[in-house]
Amino acid sequence: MSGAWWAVAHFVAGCLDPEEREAVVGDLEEAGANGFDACRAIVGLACRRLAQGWLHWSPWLALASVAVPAGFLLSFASRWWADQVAIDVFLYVENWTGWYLASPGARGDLIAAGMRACVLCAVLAAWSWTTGAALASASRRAQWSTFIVFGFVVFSATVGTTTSARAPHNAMVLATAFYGTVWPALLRATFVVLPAWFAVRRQRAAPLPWPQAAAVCVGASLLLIRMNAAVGAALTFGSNGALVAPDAGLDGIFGTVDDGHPVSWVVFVLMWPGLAMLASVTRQRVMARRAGP
Amino acid sequence: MALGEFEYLMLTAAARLGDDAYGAAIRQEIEQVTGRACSLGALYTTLDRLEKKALIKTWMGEATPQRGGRAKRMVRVTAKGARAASSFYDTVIRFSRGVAWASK
Repeated sequence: MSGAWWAVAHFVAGCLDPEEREAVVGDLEEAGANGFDACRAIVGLACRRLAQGWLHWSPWLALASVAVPAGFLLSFASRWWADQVAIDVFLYVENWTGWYLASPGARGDLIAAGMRACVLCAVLAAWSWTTGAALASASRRAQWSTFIVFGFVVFSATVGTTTSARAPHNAMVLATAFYGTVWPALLRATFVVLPAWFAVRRQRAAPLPWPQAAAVCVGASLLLIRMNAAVGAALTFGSNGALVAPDAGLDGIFGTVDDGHPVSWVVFVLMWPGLAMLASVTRQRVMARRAGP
Repeated sequence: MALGEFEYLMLTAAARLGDDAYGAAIRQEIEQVTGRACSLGALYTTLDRLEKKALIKTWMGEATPQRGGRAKRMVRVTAKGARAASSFYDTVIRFSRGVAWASK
């Protein structure tokens, strides 16, 4: 039993700074503390550190400007995309025949659907990673608590809403437990919460150097711009026209190659976590330079 | 520099331990002398506060086998810390003159 408590203690100690973790766990081992006492001591210290972190203004700013708004947007975008991909998966899985691979046209469609799903997942992961990094950079002491709020918003913001109202023909598929509940939760856990968690851990261990932070920010922004239409559709439940006026192009016909594809302003709003991370890393770099060697 | 009671206890324990002052040793010293439990949370947050006030200096020391190969957080009282503790002690002594419990 003591071993299990020690395992919990080591897990909670992960919230502490590496040097403090080293010193505290070492002190407890030296004192011969049992697992329960060690766990209680570490939880007590972690709670104090957490409370201390919130005495500063930066976690509140990170919460209001990044965790909650980005959590909401990611929640809606991930649910919309999860539902779109779920329909593709359902159609292929339920109607699978070898013909999908044998026919060049059907194979092309299958590859296109797979590629689209991969790019959407990459956008979610990049966007979430920059959000996690922004949270960790903005407030070191309270990064795990802001991350928990972010995760809570991601999973709860869409509770009680549905995408079926926009696309009633999908209602039958999305009413099933797997495609309606398990699939979106799985996608969010894998491509939203997990990348953000990795980013928090990464920034906690060693803040990203400025060139890498800039490269990540630019990469995530390019992905968002590339998927501009899908992002707009995800956040307006498919009514992208409400945000971007359609442009039929020179031929005056919608749906042809010369149609205009203006970048939605929403995409620039979504770049905010990446820019916030970059601003924070830049500030740390300037402060380190001022402090000297 | 105003000190709290626990801050004074920590400074005194660290000063008494000298080169052997680190988290677990300070905690043990306080518990033995005062007879009160000292939580690690209180100990480490107070260490940070004292360091921020420049009353102590801390650094990571060597690791020992009985600590599972983990390093100690070593503590040294600074000159400013010694002055603050001395001032606290003088205040308590001066203020306590003439009261029943001080003349026991």
